[in-house]
Amino acid sequence: MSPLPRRGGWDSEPAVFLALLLVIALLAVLPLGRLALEGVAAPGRSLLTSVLAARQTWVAAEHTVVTALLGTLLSVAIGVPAAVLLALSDLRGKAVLVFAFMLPLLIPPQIIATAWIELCGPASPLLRPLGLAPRAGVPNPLYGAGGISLLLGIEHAPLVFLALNAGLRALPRELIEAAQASGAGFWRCLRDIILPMTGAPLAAGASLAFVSAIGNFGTPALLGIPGGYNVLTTLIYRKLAGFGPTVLSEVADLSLLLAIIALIGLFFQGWAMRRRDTSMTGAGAPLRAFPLGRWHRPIAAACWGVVVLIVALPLGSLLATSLEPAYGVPLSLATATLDNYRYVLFADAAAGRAALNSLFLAGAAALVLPLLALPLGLFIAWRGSRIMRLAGQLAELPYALPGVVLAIACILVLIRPLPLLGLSLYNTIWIMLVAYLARFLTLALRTVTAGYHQLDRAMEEAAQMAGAGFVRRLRSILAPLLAPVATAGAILVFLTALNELTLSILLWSTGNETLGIVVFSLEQGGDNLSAAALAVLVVAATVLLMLLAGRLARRLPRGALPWQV
Amino acid sequence: MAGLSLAGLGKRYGAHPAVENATFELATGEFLAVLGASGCGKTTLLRLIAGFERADSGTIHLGGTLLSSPAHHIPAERRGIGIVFQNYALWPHMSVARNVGYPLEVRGMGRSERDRRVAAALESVGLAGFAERRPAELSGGQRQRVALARCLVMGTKLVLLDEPLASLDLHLRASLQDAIADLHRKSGAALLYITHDQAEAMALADRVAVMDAGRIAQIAPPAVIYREPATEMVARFVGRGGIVPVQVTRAGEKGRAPVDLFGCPAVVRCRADQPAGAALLCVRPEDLRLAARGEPSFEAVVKRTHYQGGSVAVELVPTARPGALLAMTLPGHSVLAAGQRVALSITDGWIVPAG
Repeated sequence: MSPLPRRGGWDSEPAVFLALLLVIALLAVLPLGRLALEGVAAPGRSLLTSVLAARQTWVAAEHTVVTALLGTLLSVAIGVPAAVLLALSDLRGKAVLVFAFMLPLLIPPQIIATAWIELCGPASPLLRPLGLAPRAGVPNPLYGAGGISLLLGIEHAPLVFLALNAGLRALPRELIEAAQASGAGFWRCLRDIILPMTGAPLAAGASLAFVSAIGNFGTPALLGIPGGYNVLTTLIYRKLAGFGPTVLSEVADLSLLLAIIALIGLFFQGWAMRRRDTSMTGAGAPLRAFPLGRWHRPIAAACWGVVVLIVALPLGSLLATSLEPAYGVPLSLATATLDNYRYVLFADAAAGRAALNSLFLAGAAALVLPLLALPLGLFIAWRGSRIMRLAGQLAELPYALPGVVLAIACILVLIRPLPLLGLSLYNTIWIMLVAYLARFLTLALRTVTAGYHQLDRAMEEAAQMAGAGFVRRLRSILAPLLAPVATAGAILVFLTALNELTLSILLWSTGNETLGIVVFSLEQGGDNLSAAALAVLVVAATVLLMLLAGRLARRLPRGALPWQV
Repeated sequence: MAGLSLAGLGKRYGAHPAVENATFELATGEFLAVLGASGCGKTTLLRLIAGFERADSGTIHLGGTLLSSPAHHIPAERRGIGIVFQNYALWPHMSVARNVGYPLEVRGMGRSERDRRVAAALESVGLAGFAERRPAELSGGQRQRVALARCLVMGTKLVLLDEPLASLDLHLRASLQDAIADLHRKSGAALLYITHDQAEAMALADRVAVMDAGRIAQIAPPAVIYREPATEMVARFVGRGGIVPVQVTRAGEKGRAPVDLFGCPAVVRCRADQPAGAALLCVRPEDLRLAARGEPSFEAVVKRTHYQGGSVAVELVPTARPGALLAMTLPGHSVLAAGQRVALSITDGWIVPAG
């Protein structure tokens, strides 16, 4: 048999490489770079100094840091015991507990805040029958610094949990068994061996919780604005919503200040991650679970108690509110109604439009980003390209930094008409899509890169030897093999994008509202019933998507889905 | 026309040379085994030829076409070289037939012609009924055969095999050695076979290249590698036996030279240009025997014996040189105990050329 000639052709790999670099440069580097430039070199003004001189700025900055720090403390207080119990003990029903525990991270802050406002308000459908609700006319007890910190703590506790859980699972089992063999019981092991060795992941998780807390918008907006308690994100929102693009330079400086606080947190997180002693990571044998023994019942009861308190009660009161016929009318089987659902689903034009817009934005991001991540992950994980690895790290920034920062950066770049085309994306849905793509790229990239690390490189090399060019290898070999991770990445992007509020609220224009915006506006405008109904629908969709992704879990690398640990 | 031709090929990772000055030719249809310990550079050599790594120096030609040089690199997908990966690298999402037919699919061959060739390739590796199976449903040996068929179907001039038997059970190896020999015969392709297992290399290959620290220490037919190792490393790496210091009493003549081994005179094989003086002697187990009374001999102490059923492998330490180790094989009924002193004589040996 004579060798078959292969059709000659042009090697597309360098072209794809350059195209991906360009995409990351446009999505991540250009906007953030433009924002940084605005701070240091805006022509002919000293706004930076004037913004920094304003008392308002420093009050908001102080509020931001104080609520974030208090919230982080609470996140640690909740996340550490949860991680220790779920990673190290023989507690039953772990999968369900983890799922419930992750919900506050995946349900958007504006909905959590809405739920808690209902739970603690004078009309509380759960507290009022018990006679525990505050009197009417009294402001909701959650308004202000305390409530904001409480909810920030609950929302970001899963971040601490995830980081510590990963650290605990990476512990070499022998080190713990050696301590046990030396006679140490559970508490001694925990105090002397386990916690000292997982300090770095815990610090990293806490830093992440802090960075997320200072970037949070939905929580301080719903709990802070009514009482005039401003943090940086809400201050930026109020200025931009009130005065429009004329205050762009001013809000750019404010968002730079926010970015700097976030970078300090991110820097600390990176430092903590690097301090991890990688020689001390386990060989993969899972830790043997510590038996809880006679403590099993009380500890299990406490865990479920916490889940009821931070998940079931607020969501329950949200559901109850959504079924009320009118605000404040006691809910009973006789009075329960689906009118609110009927209204948001069919009558309210904005809600319908928002659902379509959110579906479009989340769907487009979920479709495009895994397709970008597929070749990107290849260059990062397999080719070991330094440039691409750097690009991958830069692509993390739009996600790691507060959404407000990215939104302002996108406005700065896109407010003027695009060169050559002469049309402007500002005030269209497309600026929102650009921002979504920039923000969520890293979610798809992380899952797909993890997939590459688990796949044998010979899969591609064999196709190469068979004569397949780059694009063909991607299409016929790598895409099918990575389909499960790419799908998980797509679902993660879709889920997060569907619940997005921070970017949208700064970038939207009439007709382009999203679900997050509508829930937020309904709640802020006092239409709590419709807000609750729409929020319940969004939560239902979120849980449904989590379960759907969970069905893929068997075919995914460990840790691809945050709520399955 | 020449098959594969390497000239001065080199690759370094930072300051560490992985492959240095590799130069050899592989004729069409020839079977070359590249033998070496892990980390010797044999895998890098294979990846250079396959086109996964770029050459830092030297050239690779195949059938007269330049594949690699520092300035020129034909990507792997255009080399038309077949490769059997250590873990076979079958695509789990494709059927056996599609795995095998993929090189043809890539080349845009029509469905019916492709099916015909795939069927023929599967037939020739003894997997005719397995076309629609998934790789996951196959045993290790069957996967190996699918990987062979995938190379066969391309009609390639050169097949690279990367330790293809390393992950198989011992009893499967023999049958797959046959399959590989079969592939070699049927395809007429040149085979380059990477292995750390000398028995495999000796059994299969026309020639063996022994690699050491990135360099090819010797390239020769198996019997020559065994009988006339070119360096001390080759002598130690291939076959059992001992390397002991000797005094060459007169320069070699017609490939033989008289030596003094621990005071015992003997005549051994050597290179034509072997000078007199101190040298290293490679003594294979079959070169040693227990000395008869009155015969010139030297004394050694039995260090250890391994009963091997039918024969006994004996390790001995020469009394004159406690650091050296010799090996010999005795009939199974021999009774030698550790610590026992014996008189040995040598019937043959090879003076290892000075590095």
